[in-house]
Amino acid sequence: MKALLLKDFYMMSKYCRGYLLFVIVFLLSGFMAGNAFFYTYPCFLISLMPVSLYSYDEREGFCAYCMTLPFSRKQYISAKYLLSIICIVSVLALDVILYLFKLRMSAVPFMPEHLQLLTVMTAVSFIIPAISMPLIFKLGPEKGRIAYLVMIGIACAVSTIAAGDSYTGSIPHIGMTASIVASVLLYAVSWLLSVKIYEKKEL
Amino acid sequence: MNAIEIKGLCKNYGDFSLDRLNLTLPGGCVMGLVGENGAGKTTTIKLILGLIHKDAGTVKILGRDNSVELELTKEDIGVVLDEIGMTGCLTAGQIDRIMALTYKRWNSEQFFSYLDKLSVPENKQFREMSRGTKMKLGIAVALSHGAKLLILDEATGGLDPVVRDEVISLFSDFTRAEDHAILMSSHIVSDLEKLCDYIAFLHKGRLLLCEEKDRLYEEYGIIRCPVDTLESLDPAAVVGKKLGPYGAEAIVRRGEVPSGIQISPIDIEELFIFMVKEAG
Repeated sequence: MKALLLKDFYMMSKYCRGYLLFVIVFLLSGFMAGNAFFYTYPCFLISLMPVSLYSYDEREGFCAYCMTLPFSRKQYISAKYLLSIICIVSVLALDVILYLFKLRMSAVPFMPEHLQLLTVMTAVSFIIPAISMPLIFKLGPEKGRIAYLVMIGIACAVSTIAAGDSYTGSIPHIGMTASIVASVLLYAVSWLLSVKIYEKKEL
Repeated sequence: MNAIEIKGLCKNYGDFSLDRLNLTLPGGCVMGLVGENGAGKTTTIKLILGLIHKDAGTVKILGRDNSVELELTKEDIGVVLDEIGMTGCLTAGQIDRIMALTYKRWNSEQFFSYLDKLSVPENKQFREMSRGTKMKLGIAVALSHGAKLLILDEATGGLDPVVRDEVISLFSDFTRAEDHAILMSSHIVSDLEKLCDYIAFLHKGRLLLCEEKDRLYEEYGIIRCPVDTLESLDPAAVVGKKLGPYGAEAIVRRGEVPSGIQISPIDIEELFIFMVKEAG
């Protein structure tokens, strides 16, 4: 597993420089402008990194070659999920540090809405790969991306219609905890599903 | 112990099927898998390695069923696939660090000595290498972790004759150890002739023949004679024939041809072509 992670880090450093540059630019923009979008977007962006790396793996024939090395299919999938966690947690940590530093510089106390923002960022950062990865392992990078976008579109439409005018813009504490737990659970279920899908896949 | 033991292996793709393949590669031996494009060589290799799922049959590698803990068995196998499959942005140095974390018995010193011997640059990215160099790098990886079995899918394809000769001699060195075995598929039958103890012919997903190479030379020969001479032979003696305006050429079973007819030695490529044409 360490070997697969090391390979992915090498790939990130070569293939994903644009991604990483975007993340840094957005983080710094968030810090300068204090706009929530700039803080949240890098988390969403980085959470899709393993999906991009999988596309490279498939295109370069590494998926088949990897299974000639002493790895199981479960290990290959687990490495991608672990990489996603590492990416999300790293960017979240950077985000929080910069955010708190900004608050301190502006002498603004830590408010409930800040916690709410952090919760939404964390939950969505896990939900994005949790939905996209099984689709991409099942359908391949191209069709998987389309299926993912369609699913996200449907989810947004349904939630907007369901919320109607009742949405107040604030989430109660219990809701925040529940959203984190639900996203982590979804991530775990997604991992199990991806393992099952990949074990049946013909390479 | 057999290096590979395949029994009743089936895989159906609709337009192509591998049909009840039985194949045994004894330990310490080299087997060449010969077949035209689409004959089932790569499918067989993928089934052995568990890259695709079999419909029926069993595969044992080094005495262990390949459907059980294959990742442990793979410590003892070196594989070079037709497309190689290394990550394009990696250099040989980075591949060494990755493989050191992959294989329990990875030998960096040996790996770099192979790179040196095969003139593979250490700091060039894999995607920037020529096909031949990529193949050599793949071969260096396969030989540097104490494998007992090499599985090579068209591993000499894309190499120039000089490098091919070097690579063949590396494989030859590998088989000096008693328990080392190789299964290799190739279109270049001359490579297989140099190296192999056993030859297996695959045609349209069926095994036409699997025999010791020396037995093939003993058993089969080629005759060039007038058409009426050929027609006078027992049909069972003729494995394959080619009729032309100036006479006939046929692969025959030596033991079933009457004395007096001159039989020349065959090469494996001729035998294969005749058998495939006969099989239709």
